[in-house]
Amino acid sequence: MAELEKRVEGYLDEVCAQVRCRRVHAQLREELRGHLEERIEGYIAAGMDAQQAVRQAIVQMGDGSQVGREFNRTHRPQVDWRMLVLVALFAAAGAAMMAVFGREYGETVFRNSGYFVVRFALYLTIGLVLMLGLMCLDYSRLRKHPMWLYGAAVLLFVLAEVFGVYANGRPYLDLRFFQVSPLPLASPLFIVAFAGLAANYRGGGVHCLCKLVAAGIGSILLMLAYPSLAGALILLICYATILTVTVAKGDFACRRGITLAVLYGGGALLILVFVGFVTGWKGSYVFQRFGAFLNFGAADPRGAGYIYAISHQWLTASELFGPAQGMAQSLSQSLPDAHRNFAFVSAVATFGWAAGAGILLLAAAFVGRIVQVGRRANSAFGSYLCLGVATMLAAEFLLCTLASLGVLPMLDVGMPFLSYGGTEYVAHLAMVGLVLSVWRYNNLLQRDGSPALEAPLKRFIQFEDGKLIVSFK
Amino acid sequence: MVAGNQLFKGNSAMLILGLLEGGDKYGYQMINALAVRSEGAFDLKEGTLYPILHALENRGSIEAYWLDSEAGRRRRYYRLTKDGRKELQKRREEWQAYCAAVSRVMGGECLG
Repeated sequence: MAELEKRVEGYLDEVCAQVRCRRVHAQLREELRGHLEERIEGYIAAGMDAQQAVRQAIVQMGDGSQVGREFNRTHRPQVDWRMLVLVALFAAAGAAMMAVFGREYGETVFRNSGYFVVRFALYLTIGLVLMLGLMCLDYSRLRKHPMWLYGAAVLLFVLAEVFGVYANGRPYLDLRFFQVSPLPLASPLFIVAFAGLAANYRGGGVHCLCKLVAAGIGSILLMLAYPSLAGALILLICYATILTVTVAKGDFACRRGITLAVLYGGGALLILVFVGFVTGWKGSYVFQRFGAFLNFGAADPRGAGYIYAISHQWLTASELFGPAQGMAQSLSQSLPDAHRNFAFVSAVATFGWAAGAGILLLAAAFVGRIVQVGRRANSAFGSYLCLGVATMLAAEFLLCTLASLGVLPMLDVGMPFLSYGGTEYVAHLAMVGLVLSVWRYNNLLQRDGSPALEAPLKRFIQFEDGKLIVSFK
Repeated sequence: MVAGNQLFKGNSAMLILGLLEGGDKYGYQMINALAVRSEGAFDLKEGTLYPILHALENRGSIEAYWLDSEAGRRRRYYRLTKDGRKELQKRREEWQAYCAAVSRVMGGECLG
């Protein structure tokens, strides 16, 4: 019998010799072995002797190296060219914005209008190298130790606090030539860690969900303590999206409706307590700062509402194409933060509303593509990761644009890929690198089965394919 | 039939999706169903089915899951996804249009 088994294994070796991606070998072998064994049993039951049955079954499979070559074509790395084209378009738009900022600030602040463009080129290069590097690495390894990533993010804040330098009331990491904010590095780490934890706890019950939520709340509190309200809000949005999708998909063994209701109810309660605490502590400041955006800062146009009033003026003066008309001062003279939080206003005021619409379309295409990659990802971790990255970018684009349009109060959120900010730019490209890796490894890794597929939750009443199923089992 | 393998390859995606429409199946089961339904017209090399299944899986038209069999071995079952259903619908319409056009030229009847 061992002799016959050897012949089957020999055939499987022949197939696998052609498949360069080794990770899928075990799965291929198991699937093909099952097929061969079943075929052999069939032949023996039909009266063939064992030796002949094995030989016949192998002949019936077809030439091993031919089958192997076809498998190899299926399981090979792929490059997401669509995403790379979108990255290139954003890089071009970013360069145009830096040229604008250079013209606005360069001469007066740095005596050199090339400052922004040169810096941008440097960060773009570093970011692209990192992005392509991460693309070639296997992202699924990050899933094994999510708490290390989490710890690294916490460590960044600790290092900044202990050894860093203070600027704008926040500690920065001091790298001798650069002062780097821990914030833009920590948020991606937290999000990847959260996606990893969610993937590791997948299939677990309520206590797993609680651990996940606790990890999330810890990182949000750290962001608030840093202090960065924007960072905390963006993490909250990302976590809420990942949690909603995982629970709604049935990735946790709990009642979906009730769990979501508890999560959202609890979240809303915590936010209310936080808001109540902060307003009770320094109420007038909060209302002054966050209420000022109402009606384009009309209540206090020379004080807290100044930026909103000016931003509104610039937008009303903007043309469909080309620069805004009839403004007495330049952008940088009148609008603080024109190069960061108000990058959208700068773009519209300089290039016209058509450019603004173009940026938003590009942003939507970019986020949409990441969501698509996530939907096609072959592992739960990959799809959560893409979901986190997509939500983070979408939240940043939206918060920044809506504040510029006077719909929301301004938080310290830059426009991804278009605002001034080197660390942020590199960190964003690194996240895109992870998404590219998810796409690249799509056909190279063994797929996670969804737990809902393997063990459907037994329910009394089920709704499926438009049919109501009542089960008495 | 000599051309069986080629005949299968050209339309493999449509045929596999069509087989899965009636319920989840594993590879061996699909080959048997194919032989029965086509009355042996597609005498394909059985190993070539699997790379096609994996390609369809990568494309998102079908998804797979492992289930234990009575014999104690695991089987990899495949099922249609929502996208797969849409693809099948499209391919079926194309095929019927093609088949009708060919039969108008060649004479004879098209069973769609």
